[in-house]
Amino acid sequence: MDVIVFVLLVAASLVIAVVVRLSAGRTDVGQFLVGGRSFPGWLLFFLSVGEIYSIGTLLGFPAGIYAQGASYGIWFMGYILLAYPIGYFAGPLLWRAAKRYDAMTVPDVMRSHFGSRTLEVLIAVATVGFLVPYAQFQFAGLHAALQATGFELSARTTVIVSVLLALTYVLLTGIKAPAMISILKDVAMFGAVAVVGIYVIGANHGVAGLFPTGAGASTMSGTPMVYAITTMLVQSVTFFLGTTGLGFVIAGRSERTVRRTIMIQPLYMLMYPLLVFAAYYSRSHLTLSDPNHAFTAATAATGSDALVGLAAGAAALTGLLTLAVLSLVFGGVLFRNLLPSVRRERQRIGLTLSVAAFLVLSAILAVTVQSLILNVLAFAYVIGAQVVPAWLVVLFAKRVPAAAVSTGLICGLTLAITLQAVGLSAVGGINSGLIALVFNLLVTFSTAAVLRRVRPSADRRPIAAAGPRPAGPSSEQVLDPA
Amino acid sequence: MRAGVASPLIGLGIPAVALLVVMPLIADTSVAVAGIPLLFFWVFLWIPLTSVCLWVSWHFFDRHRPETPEIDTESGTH
Repeated sequence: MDVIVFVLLVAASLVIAVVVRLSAGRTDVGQFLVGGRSFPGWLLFFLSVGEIYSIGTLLGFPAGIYAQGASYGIWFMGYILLAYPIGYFAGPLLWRAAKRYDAMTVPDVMRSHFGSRTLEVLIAVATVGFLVPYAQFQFAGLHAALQATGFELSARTTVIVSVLLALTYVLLTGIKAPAMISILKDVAMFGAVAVVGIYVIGANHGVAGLFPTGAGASTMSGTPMVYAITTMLVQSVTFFLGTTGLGFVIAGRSERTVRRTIMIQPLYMLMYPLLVFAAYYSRSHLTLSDPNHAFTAATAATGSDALVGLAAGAAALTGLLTLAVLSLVFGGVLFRNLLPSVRRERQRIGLTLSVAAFLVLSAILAVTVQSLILNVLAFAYVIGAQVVPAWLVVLFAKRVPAAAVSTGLICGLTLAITLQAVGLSAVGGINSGLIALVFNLLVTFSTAAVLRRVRPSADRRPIAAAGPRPAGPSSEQVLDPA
Repeated sequence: MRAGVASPLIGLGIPAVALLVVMPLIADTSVAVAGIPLLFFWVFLWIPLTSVCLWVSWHFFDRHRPETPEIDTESGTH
């Protein structure tokens, strides 16, 4: 029964993709990548809350609590919760920047704002550096989801099937099909989490006995607490101001749509307490060989095969949708920023090929370096965080030239990669991504101060200070040699 | 208080203080509320309260802001 429900859910997602395609008509590159910036609030909502109920939420979050106790659960909830207030204020500015510069990618914004090809390429490379390992993580999650249903598929077969499905979503309609399918995914996930959460409360005769009393089991102190707080801080900022945050808002119709959509998104996390209860139920009642099965094992404890299929299907769908969106971001960055000389009429074909190439490359890496996947995921986040200073300058600073932002970015990336390479995901409990981000900021602003003395350049108007501005090239944009 | 200060203070400042400053102070206690450890209860509480803070920012300050003229309105027209 679990396999039937799983297959039905995936089949339903394909039907939605086909229906969206049939009703969409001809799509150009803009509609393919950013939905023509015409998504209504409700569709933008489902596209941008995907991260709340991601494959990490259903599998990684309960697994972390099962294996490591409170601190993992707290930072996971805390960073998403804190990301939305940041997004409420930064999101409309990101949307405004994309609109002003007619941008579809973060490097597009940087090129137009700073007039610097070097910075555009650096940001594009950092974006790819984030996307590939993040995609690898989705493949690993998909494999775990399939295992939960009892599918005896190898990792290799899993990634091949996943690539074909994700490609189908993307090639049919670009960003629109993943947005529509995410509604189906969220309904399935809500249903599974609600039933399992309520079941474990009933089976345990309340929540009181679910939480163990050992040190760190349901409390935090010392190094784990420092790590939780610093991880919340760096990841919440990176959520919107990193390499992919623009994608959460750019498809919206207006700044008001973005703001109103983000305002209610924290409420979407109201299922999290039930996930926490399910994770602690597994921790206190079940012995698992693989912590990644913490939620699906609690699901199986309900005795309903259909529910296991529903949960695994929802987890698989969210992984596939994330892969689809990541591949679109990659295609946009490749053809708009890394290979901009490709003629416009060939971009759609190139985009299709690059989406396929990205999925295949990530799949190959997922199969070959699977054992390192957790390290690779941490690597993705510390890379993504290094784009934050560039965004801060675009939004708020007028006297920081591209050379300073590029120098800060290179220094931040170098430190972040070095710390990861020597196995330091934290120093004294402080998340290494935050350390590299602070270093990046210091270098950026101190370089800007030095350059202002040596080689004064024209100020640029930050996005937050934008008022009415006529379309077309601005005299404020001065091509920077950096 | 000016809207430009009050809105981020309420919408961003209050949730940030609750999660980054207050939470560590109550993270290592055995106190439970309705059977839920205080640490988790506090974070659960801030799920709806974060939206409430953002709603206050929106309702009392930001919804009155005009759209930047260069940008589309809700109707999607240029």
